[in-house]
Amino acid sequence: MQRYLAVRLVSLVPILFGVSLLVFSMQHLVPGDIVDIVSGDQAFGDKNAADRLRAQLRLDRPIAEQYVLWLAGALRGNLGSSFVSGKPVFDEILRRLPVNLELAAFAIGFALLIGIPVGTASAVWRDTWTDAGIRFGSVLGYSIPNFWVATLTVLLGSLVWPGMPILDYVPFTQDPRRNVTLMLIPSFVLSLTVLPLIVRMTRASMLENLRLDYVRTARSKGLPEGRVIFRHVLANSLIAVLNVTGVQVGVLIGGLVLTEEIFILPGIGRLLLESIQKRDFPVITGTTLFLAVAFVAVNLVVDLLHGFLDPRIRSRG
Amino acid sequence: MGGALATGGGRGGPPKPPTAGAASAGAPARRVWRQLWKRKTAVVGLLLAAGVLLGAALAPVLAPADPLAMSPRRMALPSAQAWFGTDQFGRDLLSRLLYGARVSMIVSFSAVALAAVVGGTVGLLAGYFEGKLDHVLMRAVDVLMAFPTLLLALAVVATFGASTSNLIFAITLAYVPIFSRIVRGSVLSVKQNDFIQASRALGAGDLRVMLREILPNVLAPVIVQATFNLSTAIMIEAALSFLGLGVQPPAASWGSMLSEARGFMELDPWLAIAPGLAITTAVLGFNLFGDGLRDILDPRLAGER
Repeated sequence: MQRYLAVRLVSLVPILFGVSLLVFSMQHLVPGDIVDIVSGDQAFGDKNAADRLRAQLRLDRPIAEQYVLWLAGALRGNLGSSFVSGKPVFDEILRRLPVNLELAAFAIGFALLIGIPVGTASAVWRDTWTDAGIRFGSVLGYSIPNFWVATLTVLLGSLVWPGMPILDYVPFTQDPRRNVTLMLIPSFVLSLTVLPLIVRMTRASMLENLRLDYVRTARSKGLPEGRVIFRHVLANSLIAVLNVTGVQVGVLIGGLVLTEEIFILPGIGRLLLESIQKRDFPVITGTTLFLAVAFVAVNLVVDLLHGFLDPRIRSRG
Repeated sequence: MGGALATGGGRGGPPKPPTAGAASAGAPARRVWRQLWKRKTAVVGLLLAAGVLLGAALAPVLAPADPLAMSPRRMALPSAQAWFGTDQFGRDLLSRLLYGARVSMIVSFSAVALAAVVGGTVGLLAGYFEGKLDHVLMRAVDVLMAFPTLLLALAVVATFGASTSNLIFAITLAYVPIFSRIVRGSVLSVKQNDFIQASRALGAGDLRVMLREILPNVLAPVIVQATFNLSTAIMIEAALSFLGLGVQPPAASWGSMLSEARGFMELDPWLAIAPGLAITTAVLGFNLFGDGLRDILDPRLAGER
């Protein structure tokens, strides 16, 4: 297991290096001069002020040096300060992180709680009307834009259910019950982005397992069908479901941006959107880097869990 | 290769292993059509997608009004003059939906076509020559895959500005790695065949082997993937336009129409419902059609259904 862990970690180094290089290059690819964007009207036409700003942002140094300094800062948790508020970017991200973690955790929870039983039902009742309905439902669910569902939920709140607990945020530390209540509906809507794939994956993986010899053995030694399905087939199918869940975190991160925007939740996604609108580059690059690294890290954890649960993967290294 | 990482950001529909198209490649188009007609859901998908494409292509002919022309008849109910009613500026909703289809189809088809060509070239070179070139190209692909799709698209738009052409570029960049991996995987398996050896023995150069022998045999998985990516591209276009970072107003785009309707939807819910229905129709069409195509062209994946 340790060797497996080491191999995985080493394979991430070039990826993370490339990610940092790409994110760093963003503000150097901006058409025009970034100093003009930063200073807005203040330094416009004022060459001295522009030069001072350039020195302050280290834009007068060679680009390689700028990258090394930026990366060294990022590794120590220093992502620079916002052009707009002057606050350190990393602090802003950490302050908003609980919103994202809560939304994502609830959304994954909903998706697994609903998706696994539904997918199991679809596999057990293969080729019945139930199965056909579930399969069509998952294709349809996959095709409905989540930001539309979110918008319609807000609309429903204002037309039909005026007291619907949305469009507000209370920190968990302040009022845990209210906080959870307010998170339920947005995270349920968000869970719909990943639910169809979890249903599909559970079904496919169970059907694959049902064909294998160990199922015949279990049945022929007289185990009740319920036990065969749940203790043997479902347990073995969950590894594939775990894998697809890890991959879907990428979809979830994209979904978070839209969910936060529509339900007005103060998470990292909205931080990113606001910074794009204000062209606040330290915040744009900081949040982009953070979210990409978080995505890579989640996939690493899923990989490790996978190796932990399935010795065959581990030995392949 | 990293297990979960290797399958990427869930961009191209259901995650699937890179497939070898050798077995199914070169399936005559007529046989594919015949099999497709037997699948009800695929036919439904084809009809939906064709309907959207037709609406997009014929928007200037079909639209009863100028999609940008405002009128004093604001948020009017459907009537003989405006079949779908009018929006908050008195613009004809049906005309805007039709022109929105045009935007959506132009953006998604250009982005997917570009990504298939660029990604296909990268995958072909990497899979054919292997070695150092393969290593370098695939590491670059890994890096792009490390970004969730929407995040990558947002980053591109944040850097280069919000416009339709940057939106196409953003979606292309997000899809290039997917096509690279699929084509590379297929090339690696097609290369093992004897007819490649035979072709070389007959004196064919690298370019000829790649284009004449290998390329036709890796097209099937590319076509399947492209169909799924069309549906996700429609979704990304709508999402970015919804956020105000894609197609810019007053041009009609399904995403920006939905976004603009948010301020008025309590008064006229239909304004928020219609654009979403349009997006769902288009995405569902390409997804159902893609499912059918995959079952026919990529039988190895049929078990996934």
